[in-house]
Amino acid sequence: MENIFECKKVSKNFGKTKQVLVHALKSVDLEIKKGEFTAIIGPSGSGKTTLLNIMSGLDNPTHGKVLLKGNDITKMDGNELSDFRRDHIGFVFQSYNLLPVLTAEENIEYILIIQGVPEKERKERVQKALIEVGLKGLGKKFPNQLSGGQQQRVAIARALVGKPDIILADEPTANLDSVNGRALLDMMLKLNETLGVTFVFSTHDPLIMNEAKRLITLHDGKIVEDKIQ
Amino acid sequence: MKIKFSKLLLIFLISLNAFGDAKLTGYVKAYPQYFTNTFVDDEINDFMLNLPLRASFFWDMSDFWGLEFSWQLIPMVGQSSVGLFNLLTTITFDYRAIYTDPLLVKPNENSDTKFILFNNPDRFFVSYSSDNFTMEVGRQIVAFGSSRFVNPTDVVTPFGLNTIDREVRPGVDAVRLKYFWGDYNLDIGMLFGKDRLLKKSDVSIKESAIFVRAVGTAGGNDFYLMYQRFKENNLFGVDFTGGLGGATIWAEYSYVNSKKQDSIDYSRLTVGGQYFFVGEWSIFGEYHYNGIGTNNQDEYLPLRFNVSHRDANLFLIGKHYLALFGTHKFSALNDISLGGTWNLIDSSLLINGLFTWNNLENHYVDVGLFAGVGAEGGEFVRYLDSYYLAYRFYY
Repeated sequence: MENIFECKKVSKNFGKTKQVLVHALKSVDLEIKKGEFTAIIGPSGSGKTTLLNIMSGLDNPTHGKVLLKGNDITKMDGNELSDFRRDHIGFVFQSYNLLPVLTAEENIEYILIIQGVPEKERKERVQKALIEVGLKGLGKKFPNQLSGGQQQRVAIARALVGKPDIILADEPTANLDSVNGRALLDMMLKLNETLGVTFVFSTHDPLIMNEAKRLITLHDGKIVEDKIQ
Repeated sequence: MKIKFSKLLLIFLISLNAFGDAKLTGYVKAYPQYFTNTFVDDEINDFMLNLPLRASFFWDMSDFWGLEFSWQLIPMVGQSSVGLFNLLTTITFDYRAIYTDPLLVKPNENSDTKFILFNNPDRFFVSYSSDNFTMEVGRQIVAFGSSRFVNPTDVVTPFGLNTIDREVRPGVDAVRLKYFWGDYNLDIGMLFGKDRLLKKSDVSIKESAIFVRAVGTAGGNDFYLMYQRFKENNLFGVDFTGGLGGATIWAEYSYVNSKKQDSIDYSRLTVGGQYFFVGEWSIFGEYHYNGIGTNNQDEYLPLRFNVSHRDANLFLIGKHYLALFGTHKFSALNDISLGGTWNLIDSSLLINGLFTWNNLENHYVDVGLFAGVGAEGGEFVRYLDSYYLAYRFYY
């Protein structure tokens, strides 16, 4: 199966002098295949969020390459990278990051508007995304009118609707109670199994760790374990 | 031989007097702002402080030639849960052939309190003036229209309804010629834009504009006819300002068409008037028809991204508006104004209030607000409410 994503000898350092230099990632090699449901785990400070930010193009590695479908995103400039990220990567944040002045539908729709999708197709894909995440009928609600779990589903629908090659999720269940966390995880598993959506999570959540098909353990900026479950 | 910068500056300033009239002016402003929106989300409580600093250099080199140069630095700091700082990082300037990244310091994504440093080389032009001809070449202001709030003939750098600092329009790179014959003048210009998305180093015709405007005066009234070609759109416009029964009245109309994919042909109209009462009161009212707008709230968001909407720097998305404002001057040093802009279809209202106090020579204090009210989903209900103080010092 093809590699959707590759990190080659990726390192990330923070700080400018030896006294304050932090090696957040140390020569990480990683390949993600299409259709994977992979969790990146590790203690706080192990580099999980940094790795996810670099995979998504939100941050640049100090050394190394990041390839998405064979395209080296570290060589792209601002506009090119923004466009590429918009078209190929979905990102789900721990804090949802929904625009509070837009309805759930609008939060999902605006990605498609930027992509230039025609109106009829946009409306259909937004409604389909809402159904897929179990929020049919709630599209006109504003984020503050939805529960935390529902807001996170809107965030996933937003990540999903642009048909990205990969969805990166940074601690997606961290702000949810166990019931909502379980429901969200079941939904993402279903999306992975029925639609073949590739998911990569960073997580502390044992639920996700148990259900992930591949578990990558980071410690002190390095991959110390990579196992198929 | 090393020379201290301070000595060089002193030599430069002294030498100015040897070559005609030159002066350095500018301002320092401080705008602490509080943002919220109780209709959509009462948990929005954001704060921003911005400190615009502007320095302008004017040099009358001779009776005919002049030079103007202005630079603006705006440090901004604050906390925002709604992505205000992310929005600010995406600000670009239209019609600038020579384009520099406006952000000297970008916000730190990992910090709750963000800081950015915004810079804007805003004016740099040479002018030539004679009795019946003027020419301006370089970065300058180009703005059109007599209306107070929405100018249908101005698609260059219009202000949004909730812009606090309307003192200075952003400069554009242009060549502008004006010919005067008695009560008439012909105003011709070209604005140069750069297609930054395609990373072209040359000026792009697709991002540029030309205009031709004929101005005449008759019976104390001013008439304007205009044609603009901007970003492959055509604009035909007329504008009128006059007096009626002691009031000042105006009417401004434009029609825009384009062959661009997904573009919309539309017209816009503003009619309005202002009347000054005895006792330092004045009122003004303006009706605006926004032909590109929609009465369907489901179409509000997509319209904002439409190519025609973006090309003309439009900011309204409904079809019919009414703006009403009243102003009272307490004294020569302070005044208050209050009013609102009303979307007549979805009934949302953007309230705008401002109190200004000239407390010392060249020092001003303002207190103001923008607040959107109305039914859920209304255009102005989605605006962030903004409450602000402003301190302005001019030198």
